[in-house]
Amino acid sequence: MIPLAHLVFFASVLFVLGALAVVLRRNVIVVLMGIELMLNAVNLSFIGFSRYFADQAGHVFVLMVFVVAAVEVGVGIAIIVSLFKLRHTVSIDQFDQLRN
Amino acid sequence: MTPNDLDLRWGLMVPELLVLLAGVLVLLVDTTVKAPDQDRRGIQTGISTLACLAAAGYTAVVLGSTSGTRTGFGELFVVDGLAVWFKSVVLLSAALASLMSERWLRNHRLTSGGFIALLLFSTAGMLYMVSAADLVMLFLGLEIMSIPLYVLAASERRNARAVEAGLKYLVLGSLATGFLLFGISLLYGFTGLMGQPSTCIADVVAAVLRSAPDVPALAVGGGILLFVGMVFKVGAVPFHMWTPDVYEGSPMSITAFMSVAVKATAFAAILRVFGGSGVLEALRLHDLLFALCALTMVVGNVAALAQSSVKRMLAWSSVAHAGYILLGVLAGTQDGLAAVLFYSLGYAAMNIAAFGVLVHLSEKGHEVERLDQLRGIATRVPLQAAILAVSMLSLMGMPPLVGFWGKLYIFRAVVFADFPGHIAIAVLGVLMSAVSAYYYLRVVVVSYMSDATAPAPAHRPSFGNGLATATAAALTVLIGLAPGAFLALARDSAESLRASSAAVAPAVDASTATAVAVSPQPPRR
Repeated sequence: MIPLAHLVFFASVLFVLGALAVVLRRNVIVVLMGIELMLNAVNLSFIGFSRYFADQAGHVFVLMVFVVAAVEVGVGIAIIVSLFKLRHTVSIDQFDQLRN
Repeated sequence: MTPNDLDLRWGLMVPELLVLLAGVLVLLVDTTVKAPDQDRRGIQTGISTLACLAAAGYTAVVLGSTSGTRTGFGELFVVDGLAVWFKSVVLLSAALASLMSERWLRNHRLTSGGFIALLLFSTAGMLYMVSAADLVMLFLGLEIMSIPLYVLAASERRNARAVEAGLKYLVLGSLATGFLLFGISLLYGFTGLMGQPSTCIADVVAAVLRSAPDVPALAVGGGILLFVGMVFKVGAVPFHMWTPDVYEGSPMSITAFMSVAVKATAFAAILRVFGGSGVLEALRLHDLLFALCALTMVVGNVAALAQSSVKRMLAWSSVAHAGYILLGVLAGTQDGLAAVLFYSLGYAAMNIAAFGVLVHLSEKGHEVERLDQLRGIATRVPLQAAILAVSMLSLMGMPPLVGFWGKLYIFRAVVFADFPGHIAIAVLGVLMSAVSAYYYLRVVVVSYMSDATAPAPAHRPSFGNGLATATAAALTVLIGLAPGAFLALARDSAESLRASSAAVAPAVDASTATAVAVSPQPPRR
């Protein structure tokens, strides 16, 4: 059995990488991918704990996170597409009209 | 598990079902009713308002009549005083926001089916989140609330600023969701280490209290991530970056709805997980919250001073008010929690009144955003100017309006609480609300004491928006005139938090008998 510490460490690293992608990358599509990476790190940690403690509930949570992640990306892509139609760019730096 | 074990008590879920049903009905009107857009907008906002009011009535009268905590649906769903209070606030805000939306939709010649339905679905998410007895239920409620709001913020599809607001909200909101979820997964692991893996809020709280004072890093990390995810929705500094941009870009009625209902829902969730049981202290989150409160009040108020856009000023002011409300959570006493409930209601009334006036003054192509567009409105629309003045004075904290009582109860609870630095932070709060007088009074001065520079655009008032504004303004004054009755109600509702943490306490005592080297006295207030 994989030790619990390894599992938590791996999920945390993946989560931090995802969060860094959201904060640092300038391409909106890559930012969305960063969010997916974060959610998958969460899935990994749920599944890991679930296996380790032999508790079925963790598996169910992963399914819920899948559904929500899919919905979020769906809405995200829709918003990005309509913004791309208006601005012809996907670079976060160009989206600065809301500043005084 | 048989269906009977699930304990499907549909009676508890009537408000949620009513709101969801109304959302579906509103969508059906678009496809079945052959009528001009104008009439359809009226029918749809009407359905939405009536459904929200009916759900609020059911919540307050039927669910609120019996005190005590009732759970159902396999221990996922709970109805108690806290849920009843915040559901009433959310449903009231949703009813007023749908009334306000009609005018904005008419100005922009948009069909209202999707807009109103999303508003209702988001409301349903809030109701589920407020009633969550389990962290996974809380997460699902949060997402059902947030995802429609991302779309609503961007609902003006041809306007790059609105879509930009939607995108920013989506990206930062999803980031917060990630934090919240990772926190939940770590707490799930922590409860597993403590013997029984669970995401039930009561179990998590009990496990944390049981392991106090040496709470493992897993629980502390999970608690901090969960807390950050929730505080993000409240808009507290340093998780406030999205607030001004999103509030500025969204339609006015949605801005009002977000600033009021999302905030109230997030506070309900914070109270349910962290309120009144000593978890904050056990997880060593108390100092973090102290810093957050101080920063939020200072940054919110100081940034609001510099704004020339009324909408942006109100966005920063909502950050500042989040700071005041968080003070009540920081105090953690029964008085503090009751003050949080009271303030959420009062803030809903006064903020919706302010936004209602802005909606009233806005025409297509003449959105009232800059401060100088308010010049001389006192002579043009005296009633609306008076309502705007009342709401500004109330936000500022002028007696005898509701804003004054809210601040008074919060600051009093903090002064009588006992944690290091409680007097200092109360003084900081009072000083900061003195600072806020400058930018609130500036709105009143501009609307009363200067002449209009530009001719007023042709004006078409809206019955719905007028009704919403008048109701909100009336509440601002009425609650201000009889604060005692509402505070007593808030106190009764907050009582359920103590009852539920008392239910946790025996479990703690029983387990300490077996646990080694654990303090027998869980830190409870």
